[in-house]
Amino acid sequence: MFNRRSFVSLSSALAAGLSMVAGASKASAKTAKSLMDIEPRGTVGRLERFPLLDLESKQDFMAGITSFANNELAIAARDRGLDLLKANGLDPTKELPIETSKKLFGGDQIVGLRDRVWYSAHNYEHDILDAYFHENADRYLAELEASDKAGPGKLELNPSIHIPDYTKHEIHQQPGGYVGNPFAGHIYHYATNMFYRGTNDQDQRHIGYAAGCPLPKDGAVRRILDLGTGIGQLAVTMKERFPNAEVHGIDIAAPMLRYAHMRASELGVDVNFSQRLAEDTQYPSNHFDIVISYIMFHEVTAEASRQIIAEAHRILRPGGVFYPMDFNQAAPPSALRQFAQWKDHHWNNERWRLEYASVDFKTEMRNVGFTVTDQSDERSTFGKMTGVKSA
Amino acid sequence: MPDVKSQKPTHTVDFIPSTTRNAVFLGNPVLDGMMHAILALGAEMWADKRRLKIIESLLSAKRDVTFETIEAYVPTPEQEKAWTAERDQMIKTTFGSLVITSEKSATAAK
Repeated sequence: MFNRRSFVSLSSALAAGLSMVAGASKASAKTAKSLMDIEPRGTVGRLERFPLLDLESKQDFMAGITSFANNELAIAARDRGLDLLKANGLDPTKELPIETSKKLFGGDQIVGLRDRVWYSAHNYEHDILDAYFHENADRYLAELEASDKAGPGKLELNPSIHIPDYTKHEIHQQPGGYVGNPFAGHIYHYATNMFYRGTNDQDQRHIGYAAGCPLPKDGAVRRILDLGTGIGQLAVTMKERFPNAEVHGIDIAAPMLRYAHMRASELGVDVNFSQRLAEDTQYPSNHFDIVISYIMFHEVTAEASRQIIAEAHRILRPGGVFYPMDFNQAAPPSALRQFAQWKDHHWNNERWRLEYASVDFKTEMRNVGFTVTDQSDERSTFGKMTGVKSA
Repeated sequence: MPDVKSQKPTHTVDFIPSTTRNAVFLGNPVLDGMMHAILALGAEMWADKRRLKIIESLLSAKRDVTFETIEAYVPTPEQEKAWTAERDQMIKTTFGSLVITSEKSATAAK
């Protein structure tokens, strides 16, 4: 019969051994485990392994399929798209009316095959995770409940907060979205790990983003805020970079925050998470030294983006730094890239992706008083823009 | 999304369901459905292959082979590398025929 206690102790011993070999982070060394902690297969470094081998293996297969879609199939689709543009006498370096793009590329099977494979892998991953956590809802909700009051950081939920409709969509087809699924954080974490294909299992990307965050000119960093923190990976890695600073992460989605808080607690990292709106944070003016965000802006409306930029300016102290990371706006115009953005918006249900593309962040940031530096490289996925509030 | 089978607080609110989940990319929903099914079967097969590899690893090391030891097994970095290479080769072999160029497509149309 399945003996969970011996299984857990065996897997923990294995994971501990591996962590020593891999050089586990300082944070994981001071892990404060909750009594309710569910880790049936232990952890590898900072990553709680999938609760079932089958789930892990299926994700592994879909990660391979995603690579195949993003490489071989994407090259074939791109070449086909260029052929179609050429055959119709159209310039690939110019954007097209979207109806023309849909007519030209939308019905083509070579272009469509890449999308079919990519979306199937993506949706399959969401579905198996959603099914697993819902089948075990009582256990995982008990784990979250026990963690809600754990330390070292605090979790502040606000059941009476107004949740705007724009945040209620099933963004990137995630079942229930961020606000409607109690396991939104669990699903987001494992599904994005597949998206990153092994390059973020140990938060490596977020460690890099935190390391790249510019400092205020006077070097003083006492308070940091991560907007749209999601599962808190950037907030945690910022705390690890600035151990003496008070770090806060806010999000409108309670399920995401509960997971973020549980994970930070398990890693022993002192971050305070609270349920607030980025466009109306309720923090005092001139309060933070750094305000950051990672891939939040493309998931909010253009109107909210403008409000958030103004709010970031208000809550930063003079000389404070605003560092929003999101999809690169510096990329040159391209008919195929424009169609890819539309597909992401439409088929991947990234509802605000096109509105994001319509906002000129540099101008908006300057309009509220930031001095803006843009080091975005047109070839990279993410832009690198920094705003400094006048001293 | 399934119903939550628990009385514990979920801290959720009503969400706005996506209306574009069932996309048709291949011009025919049957074709799209079949492609999805083939991928799902691939995942099932790879899950079995990986489980077999773990059982073989445990047997080679003369360790107990139980549900617990199989589930808890952590592949070595060398195994991870080799298994990933095998997975990618399997994908290339089984799905490689789907890499269709305009030229191939034009030939097929004749």
